[in-house]
Amino acid sequence: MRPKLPCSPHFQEDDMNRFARQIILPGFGQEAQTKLEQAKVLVIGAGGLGSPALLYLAAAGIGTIGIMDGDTVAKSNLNRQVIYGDAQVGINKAEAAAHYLKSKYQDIKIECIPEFITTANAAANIAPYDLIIDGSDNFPTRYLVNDICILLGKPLVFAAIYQNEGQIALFNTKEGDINYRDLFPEPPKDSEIPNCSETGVIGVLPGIMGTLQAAEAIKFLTGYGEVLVGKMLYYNLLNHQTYTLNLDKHPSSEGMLPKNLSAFESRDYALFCDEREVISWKKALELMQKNTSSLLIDVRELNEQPKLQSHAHLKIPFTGQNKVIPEMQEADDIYLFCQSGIRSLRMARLLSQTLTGKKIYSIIGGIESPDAPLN
Amino acid sequence: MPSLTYIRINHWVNALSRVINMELIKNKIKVIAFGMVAEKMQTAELQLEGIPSTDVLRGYLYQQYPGLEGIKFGIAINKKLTSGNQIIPHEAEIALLPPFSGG
Repeated sequence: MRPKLPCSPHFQEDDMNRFARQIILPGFGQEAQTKLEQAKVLVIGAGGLGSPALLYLAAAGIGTIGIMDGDTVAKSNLNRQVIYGDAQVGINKAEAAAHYLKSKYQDIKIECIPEFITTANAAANIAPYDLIIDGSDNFPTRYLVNDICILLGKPLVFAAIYQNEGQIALFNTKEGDINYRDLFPEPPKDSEIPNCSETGVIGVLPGIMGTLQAAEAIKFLTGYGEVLVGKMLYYNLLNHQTYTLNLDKHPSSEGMLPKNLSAFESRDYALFCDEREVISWKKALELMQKNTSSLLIDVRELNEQPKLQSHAHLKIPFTGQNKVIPEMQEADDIYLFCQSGIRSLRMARLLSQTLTGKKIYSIIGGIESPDAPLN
Repeated sequence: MPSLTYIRINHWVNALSRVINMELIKNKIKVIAFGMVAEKMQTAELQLEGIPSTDVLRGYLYQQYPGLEGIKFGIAINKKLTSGNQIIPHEAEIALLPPFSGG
């Protein structure tokens, strides 16, 4: 057994500080800690990536942490969204995460924004922060966040996962820096995107990637160590292989960016597809009221939340197969929705092949759209 | 008349350059695939020969792996992301990089 060493009064004082173990790191010190205390970081999406990022940012003493998410905690989130437990199922994620972090620490400020990010609310919500963490889970949001960060000059810690692989980079630390559009100037078409409930994940992977996001944020804010500027790090959970990609400006990236805030605000990020196939909730509900021979269909799995209560609809989970039922044949117009508008668009395209002469629409943004008639 | 020594040297130089040329024409490359590209190809690593450019590589991949049709991916040569058609140098390591969106 090691003898107990007497502590100096100085050490005891340091030990009272919850940041003592990072302050004593050579090259970090009180100076870096002060930078963290003064920093304001916004985490967009408090899910698989956002949960671990939030836990470590708060533990490190980031002075102000914003949490933006309009989603509610679902039981199936709990394998990876470790900031929540059974008791939070059904609660808004930003509120649940904010509540938890506030209960853990009294010396930092937690700001809760229980909304999905949109072109209308992005600028106002991002402007007050020094650094943005993208913890979202879909391409429209990723492009939206990338573009607004460039317009407002905000550094962006990007990370994303696909099954057992993750990627992370730090974009837009200064003007002319690499951004997400230098990798892929245009968003993939909907047919190139695996749908949200199709892909599985072991919770540890977003845990690792989200933790790396917190690390990049802390290093960037304090100038400690090297950050992933102009580089993208890939990590594979199955074999622990990493791959560091060197990035370069893409000749088409500049032209794809909105030129100013009003161009950004009028851009439809949810819309990658043919306008004849998609419709907004507002327009769909309006048309359904006019034409009683229209049909509203939820194409999500039966257990997916939240449920639509306000309007009569059928539930036909999307299987990838073209499944026509008599009700569809009788209807003039068919409106399909899912969680975010991807599966419903695929189903609309399939149905259009057999149900000719009918108007078949996929509702933009699905049930997660801020316009969805949930209340 | 060239001397015998000159002829011999010339012979070996020619033979050597033929071997080097053949190797260059073969242009062996290693291809590593990520994410959905690896899934569609059902392998994360390939050794290929005689692929001179990224456009030829794309054509070859779409032909060999029809599942890749319509899948968006970037191509990196020796860990550097490229855009447009690029020459693939000898023994290059190529990465096929689709975008990820999950979180």
